[in-house]
Amino acid sequence: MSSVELDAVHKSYEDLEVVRGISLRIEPGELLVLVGPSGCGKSTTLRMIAGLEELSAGELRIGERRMNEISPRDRDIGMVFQSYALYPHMSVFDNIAFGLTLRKLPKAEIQNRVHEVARMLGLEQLLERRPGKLSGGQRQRVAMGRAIARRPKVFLFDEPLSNLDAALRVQMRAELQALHARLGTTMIYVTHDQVEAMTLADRIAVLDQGVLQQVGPPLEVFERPANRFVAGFIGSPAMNFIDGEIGTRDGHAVFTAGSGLEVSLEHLDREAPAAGSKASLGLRPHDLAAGDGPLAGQVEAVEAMGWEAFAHIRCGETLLIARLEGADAANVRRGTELRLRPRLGRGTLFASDGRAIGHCRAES
Amino acid sequence: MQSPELVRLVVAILATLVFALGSQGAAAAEALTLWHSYRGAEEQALNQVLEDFANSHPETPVIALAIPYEVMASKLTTTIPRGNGPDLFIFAHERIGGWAESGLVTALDPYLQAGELAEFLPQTIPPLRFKGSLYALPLAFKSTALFRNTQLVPEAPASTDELLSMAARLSAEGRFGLAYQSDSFYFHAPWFFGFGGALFRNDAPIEYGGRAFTRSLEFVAQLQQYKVIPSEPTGALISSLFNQGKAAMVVSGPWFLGEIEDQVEFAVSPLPRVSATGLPASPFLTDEAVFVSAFSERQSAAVQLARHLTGRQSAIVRGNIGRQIVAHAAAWEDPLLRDDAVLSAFRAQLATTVAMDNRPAMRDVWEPTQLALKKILRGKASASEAAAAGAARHRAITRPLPEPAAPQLYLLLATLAVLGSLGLLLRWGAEVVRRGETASALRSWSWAGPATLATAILVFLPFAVGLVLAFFAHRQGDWTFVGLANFIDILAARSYGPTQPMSFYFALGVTLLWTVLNVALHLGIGLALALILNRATLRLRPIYRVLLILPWAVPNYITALIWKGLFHKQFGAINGFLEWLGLDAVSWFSSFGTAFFANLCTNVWLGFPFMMVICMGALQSIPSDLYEAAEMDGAGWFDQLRHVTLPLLRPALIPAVLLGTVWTFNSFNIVYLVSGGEPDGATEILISEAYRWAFTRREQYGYAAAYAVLIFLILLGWSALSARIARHAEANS
Repeated sequence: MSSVELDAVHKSYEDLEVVRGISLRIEPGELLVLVGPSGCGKSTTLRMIAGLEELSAGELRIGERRMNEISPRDRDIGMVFQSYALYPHMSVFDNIAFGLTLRKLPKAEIQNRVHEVARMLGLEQLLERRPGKLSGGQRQRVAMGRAIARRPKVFLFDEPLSNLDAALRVQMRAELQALHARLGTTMIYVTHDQVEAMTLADRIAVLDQGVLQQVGPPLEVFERPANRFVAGFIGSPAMNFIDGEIGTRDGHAVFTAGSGLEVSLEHLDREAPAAGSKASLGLRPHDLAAGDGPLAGQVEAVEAMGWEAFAHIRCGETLLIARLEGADAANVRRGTELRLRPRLGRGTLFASDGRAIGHCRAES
Repeated sequence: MQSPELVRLVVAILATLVFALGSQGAAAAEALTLWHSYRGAEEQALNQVLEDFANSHPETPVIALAIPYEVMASKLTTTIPRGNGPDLFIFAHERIGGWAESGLVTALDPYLQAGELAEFLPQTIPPLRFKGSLYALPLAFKSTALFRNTQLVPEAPASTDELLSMAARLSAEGRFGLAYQSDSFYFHAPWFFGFGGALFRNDAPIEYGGRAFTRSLEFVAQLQQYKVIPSEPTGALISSLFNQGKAAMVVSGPWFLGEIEDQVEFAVSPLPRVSATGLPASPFLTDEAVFVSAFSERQSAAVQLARHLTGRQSAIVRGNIGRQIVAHAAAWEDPLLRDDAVLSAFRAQLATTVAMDNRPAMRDVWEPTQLALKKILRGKASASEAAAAGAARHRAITRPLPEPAAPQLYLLLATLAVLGSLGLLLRWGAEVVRRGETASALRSWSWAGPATLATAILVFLPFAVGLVLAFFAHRQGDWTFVGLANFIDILAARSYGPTQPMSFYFALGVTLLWTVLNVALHLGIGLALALILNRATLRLRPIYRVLLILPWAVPNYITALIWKGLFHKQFGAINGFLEWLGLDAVSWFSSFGTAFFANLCTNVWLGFPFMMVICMGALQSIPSDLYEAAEMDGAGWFDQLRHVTLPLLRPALIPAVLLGTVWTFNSFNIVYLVSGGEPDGATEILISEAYRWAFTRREQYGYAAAYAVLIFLILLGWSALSARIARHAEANS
């Protein structure tokens, strides 16, 4: 168990800057998820931690030791690749044992460890098989087993579940959580899937265009996004943004928008900006409810999920997604008019540069 | 193009063809055709002589056709019996025996007037006789004589002692007193005859155990010891040495005149007397003669032309313009020839020549004598040992024909085999009909038919012919059925023991060693280079890639000849380098190890690019994340190579290795061109040994075919084994 610390880490390929100064400390035993859209630099960051890429600038420390110049095999890190990268010509046993053999562990010790890992991951029956004869989930487990058997100080996961089907993904997510609980090892997990990030992480680090946008526990990132990018990326369906400006009513600051929408900012956890300044209000789909409100528009699409439904409503230029429940969910039809009202005291206010100004958090 | 135009075009083409064929036929009926191999000045002289003939004999037009010398003999034997050969042709006299026996050329005695032959120099007539009849008229004659650089050698030596002392004095610092193709009996003959040798004292062309041959070998050993002659001499090397003033004297023939550069001052004189015997050193005499085809319909006109070509006036023209040493005696009275020092020297040499025997058995002399000469020149054998080796080789290549065998049993077996195959074919046909798949089978065969037919004609038919030949023995155009005798002779190692070069088992051992080492080195070097080229960080990668594939792109016989040059004892770059390093020069083709090494170097150079390309392709198909995973697992460069790269290359490499094995097993070119089997046939592989039996040793096609069948069986066994290996490997990956 070791901490991992990135200090102003940069990575560029010739003119292209992929990672632009990330500073981040991962505590011993923590499971940190690096999340972001494709090309945001998350995999590159992970590969720099692994030692598969060199740092262009900055410093990497594992367990307080500078690692920039240390070769991957001396960093004591286990890594699970997106493609699993199993050795196709070796049996499952040999795949798991490979790192141990190279480290010249005694034969009996290797046997013990492989069988222990196989038991942990349910691979005991498969030890003689070649990877080609395994299902995706089984390969995934072998890849994890290979990393675990060596008992490294840090685990790295590079989108390990993206090649699995949805049901298997859910199952493997749970197994990973259990594994982390059991091993207690520091883990860094890269994904573009915010659901994986939310469900697995102790802390989430959101990356965009090589820049760290926000780091924090999943709920905090969800509830208090630092900017429009994080707000839009975390949460599914994505947050709705309504552009408008700050006004006052009865001495209190309000957010107003063209459609006659007026939202009180009395629960804003920061001081509201001066009246007349431009801002936009971010509302999660579940912060919008059907009912008599100023937001009205035609239903363009309905995603019915049974007890709940997501309705896509065209309000002028803006497309809003609202989460409807119960009877509302059952009755909504495509093509009909729907009026929406924001739940009282919810939402995040963003400045025109995208930075979050503050969050309305009234108990409702 | 409109269709009437197309029709017109086709008609025009057909008409042209018909006209061309017709006119050729008509010309053949009226004009005499004359084939020759002359080029340059000789051709110019011939044309002038033919012009004279056209003026004096307008009723007999002549068409002269130049045929390359190398293919002339085979063209003659194939075209003349079919009636489309020439009426007369110009060629050397050695093959008269074979041609006369097979009725290719006509005897000229009936056409000649009494005393007509007296016009020619008397020595030029006997070589043209075979079993009492005269088969050609002599145009010119050739023999070797002594060329000397007059600045280095003002006076020609009169005896071999004088020659030796002169040569020894002149040999120093890269210069040789004497240069000639010392490993060829043609050039060695003057010494052989000068020491009292003779041709055909018994059945063999020469007596290998005789005193004359041994003493002539001792003489060569002396030349070698005094270092007055260059090693591994070729015609090109001798010309270049003489032109650079690095060879004071040269033994060569009239053809050498064309290779001497203008600035070299030289003279020609007859070869010296052999001091030990007092006999003149007598070179071989070869007549260049004009022959009349036995199939010509206008033999008397042809003889008339032959008479004109060989006559006095023509001889003067040929001597003066064509620089020929003409055979017509009276022509030499003309000052143009009489006063020519070079021509006269050859004319003087004629007195002491020995005519090349025109019996077919004469051709058996070359390989054994070359073997003996090379042994002597290497300095490792005594004259009597070398002579004994020559005698043994002569016995081996003139091995008695196997006894004829009764063909009945073989015919029966062959018939059964054919019937069996037919039966299988019919059963298969019946099965197709029974299943009602006739239509689809016919359709399939109509697609596969052309390729099947082509394969049958180009592959299976020659193969079958080769297989049948292996059961026959061939001598002089006669085929005798001998059953399995060829195979038994080969496998019983009759002529040479199993541990001696030239035996099947020795050659098999060499072939296996050759194949294993080559394939291992091809693979090792190819893989190493592919690994280097596969590094993403390597700069100028495309350039290296092209450069490394280059050896493969150059035709391999050119590469082979370049490497042979590099390994030359005295003038090769490799010995030059060794000497620069202060090491001794190596006589590469004198011992098995070094000669084999030279072959190996050449073939490795030629073969690694193929493996490199295969490896590069296979390397690119290995995902990079496997290396990353291995790196994370703690594998260093070597562990990655051992545990990731090599196992994953295996599926691609196994077929390449199997293929490479078969290619190398049969890589004739390299062995034939680089070591040529040296020393003494030790580096021959099976396929080059088979070639020698077929084409240089009395055309023993049956024996060679039996070799080929044995090679085929070995490779068939190997293919079966390798198919199993490949299947096994596939099942494991």
